[in-house]
Amino acid sequence: MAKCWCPGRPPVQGGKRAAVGFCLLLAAIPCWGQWPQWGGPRRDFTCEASGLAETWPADGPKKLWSREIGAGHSAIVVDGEHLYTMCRRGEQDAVLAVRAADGKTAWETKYDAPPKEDMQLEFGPGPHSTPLVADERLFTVGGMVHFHCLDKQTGKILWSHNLMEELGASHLNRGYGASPLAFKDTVIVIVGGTEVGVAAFRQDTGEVAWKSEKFRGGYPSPMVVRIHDEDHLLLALGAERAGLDPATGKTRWKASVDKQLAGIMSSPVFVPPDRIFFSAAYGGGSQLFRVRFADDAYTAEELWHNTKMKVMYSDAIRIGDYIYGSSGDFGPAFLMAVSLEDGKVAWRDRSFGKASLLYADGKLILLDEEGVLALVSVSPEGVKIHAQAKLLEEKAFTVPTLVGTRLYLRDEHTLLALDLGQAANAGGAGS
Amino acid sequence: MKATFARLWPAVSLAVCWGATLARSGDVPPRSAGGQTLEVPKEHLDLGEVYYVTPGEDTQLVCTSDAPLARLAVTCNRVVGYFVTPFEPSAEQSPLLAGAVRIPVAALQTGANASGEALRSPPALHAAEYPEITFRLLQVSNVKATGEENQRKRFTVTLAGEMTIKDKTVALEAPAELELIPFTWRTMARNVGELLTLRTHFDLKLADYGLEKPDRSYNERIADVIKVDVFLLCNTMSPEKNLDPRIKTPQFLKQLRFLTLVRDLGDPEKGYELGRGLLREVWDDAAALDRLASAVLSEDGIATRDLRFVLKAARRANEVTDFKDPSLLSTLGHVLFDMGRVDEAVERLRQATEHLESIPPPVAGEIRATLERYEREAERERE
Repeated sequence: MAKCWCPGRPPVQGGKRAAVGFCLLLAAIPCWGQWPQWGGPRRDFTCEASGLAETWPADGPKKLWSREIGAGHSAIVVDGEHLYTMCRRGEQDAVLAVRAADGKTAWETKYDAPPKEDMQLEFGPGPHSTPLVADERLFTVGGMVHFHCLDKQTGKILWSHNLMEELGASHLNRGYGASPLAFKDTVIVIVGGTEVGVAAFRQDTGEVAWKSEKFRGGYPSPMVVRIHDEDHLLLALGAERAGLDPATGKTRWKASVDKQLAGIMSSPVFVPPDRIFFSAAYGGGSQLFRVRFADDAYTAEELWHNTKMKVMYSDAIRIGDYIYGSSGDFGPAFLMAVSLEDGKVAWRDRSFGKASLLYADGKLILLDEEGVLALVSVSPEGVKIHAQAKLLEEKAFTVPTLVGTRLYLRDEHTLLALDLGQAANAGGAGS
Repeated sequence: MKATFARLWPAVSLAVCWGATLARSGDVPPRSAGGQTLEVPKEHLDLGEVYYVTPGEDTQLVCTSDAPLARLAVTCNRVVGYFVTPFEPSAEQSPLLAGAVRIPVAALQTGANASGEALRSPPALHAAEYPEITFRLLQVSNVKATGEENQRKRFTVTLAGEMTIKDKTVALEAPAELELIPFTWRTMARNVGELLTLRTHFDLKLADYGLEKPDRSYNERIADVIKVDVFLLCNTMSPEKNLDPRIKTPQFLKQLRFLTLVRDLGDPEKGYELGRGLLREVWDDAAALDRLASAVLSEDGIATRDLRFVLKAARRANEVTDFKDPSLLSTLGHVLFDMGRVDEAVERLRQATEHLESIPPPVAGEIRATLERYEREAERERE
């Protein structure tokens, strides 16, 4: 597998065989300062980092700044001097560029996005989807499925599509949530429409590059991985798990799963070279698939299904031969480790509410929905909490963003910048 | 995965008897912050999956007294507590590892005021002095796995524990049926979460607990032995889980505590004192004020509804929203109607109908229908 990433560019995913060596070379040289998309540089919630403090003061790591932000669960992307995210302003969605240095607004672009009458909005109308930075452009999808391409320096809308009107996209009752993905000169979005499951658009013109076959809409963000030396666009939509050719939208393989797994919201986790982990709440559980190639065709085989690990809206992370995630929906939440080998639960821990995770510098950075930020070590044997502090007051459903030693968090009303570095937190002991 | 029951549960034909003595953690744990479950001790949390008894919907207890001159059924739907099962139930382990419940005496319903008062009187259960009956699970034996279908697992067991009534603790043993029901789209219609049902029945001898009949007139009207039939639906989601992010959890718990006192424990004095404190805390929060007012107005099982308290909350909620929110106006109209101030109730509902465009059509329809009902009542009063 070869993926690489560079400042100001989304990860180059896939590519010709000839490029593999070059990409491996680049991948060996960490590029600091960027978090261009959902899930970070590699879209897997891991990133290169060093110099993070081993613990923090009891009231949390050093605070750099905080500011008010509108409602929404859109995560924060970082490109150079700016952070980008989305929030709600009355009946409008807003795309926001914030200066990383001090949290001041660089620009804000708003557009009308009144909620539909048939929506259930007790968790707010979003936006839930996370922007994508690719070259000089910023791509966003709002809660009512307005898809925009903006100039990342000015916030000017360069082109846009109303995916509900044009492609029959679904707002999923609670507002659209999947995050766009860059692939070569296209940007790929989940549609979940009456005729189209996924669509790709030319980054420069907004012209439709391809449309896939029909899939239900869904919250899991797509990702491109390399399996059997070809690119696969991984999808988890309703009760279907699929791999598409990201260049054409043609389905390479597809597997139907039990309808109890159709409520999946968490993004897939790729386990090189050919396995994919999916997890769903609402009684679903976790599954591991292997993608095989034989007789000129791809197939996906379920290796195991474990009903115990149920990742809801957050993410799961692979470290070695285990998947770590926050399991739970309406009942208790457990930080949990599951063996990739057989799907067995290695351990559970009740220390946190449902939580989003990042993996950096050998530790998990965990933000639970009650706004508790923690630094923990995990292994197949268990979890060790190094530091924790309650930093946010509203429901914190958004996965944090780490760039260098800077961590950005948000809840429904506050955007917070912290320094997790050793120097900034010297002498802290917060757990 | 459709492995046969026999493969997964060899115990089915073995009638395994664990006789397992369960983890002890002292007395029955106290009620939790909101009062709708118990504080599960850490040693029980560490054992496995915790299922919380879900109060409020089922007839959890049916106690039947079949005396020569009277037959009385006492019911309760406000039992709280928890049971713990292994995280991964297997044939090698008891399906229940711990458990405890509390039964509020004030919430025992007889369907008649006189018999209810007699039940709660000092010679009988003496609710004022001993507001709760408790049970603590100590041992599970005679475990038989009796079936598995669609990942539902069923067992029969013998439960042994201690029942405490009026400070008298007596060992209790009873056969029980247990079913572990995973969360499915179908079960979600009843409750979200993984479910456990526990059914049991036993005889309760009044003399064992030092319980007396209220007076001699009851000698032939209350049996010496009461048959108790139990159904507890338990859920991995605690009854105190706040699923609505718009509601602050401390407020949510305080309102639950208030309702626990006023409704379940029959203690309006302490309850409304807590309620008044909550009222002050949410004085500028229209939605929280309305939740409080609506709960007292509408919640089942509240014997003492303080309508002046409700009026204060509902009126303030409308002041905060400038008397323009139809739902809040409807609550204000409701309390005025219940207070017999029908003309004022009509006025508030008419005000509500001026703002119906902001709410879903079904709710708007309910408000219009309520207004018509109030207007008919006002007309009747004038006649």
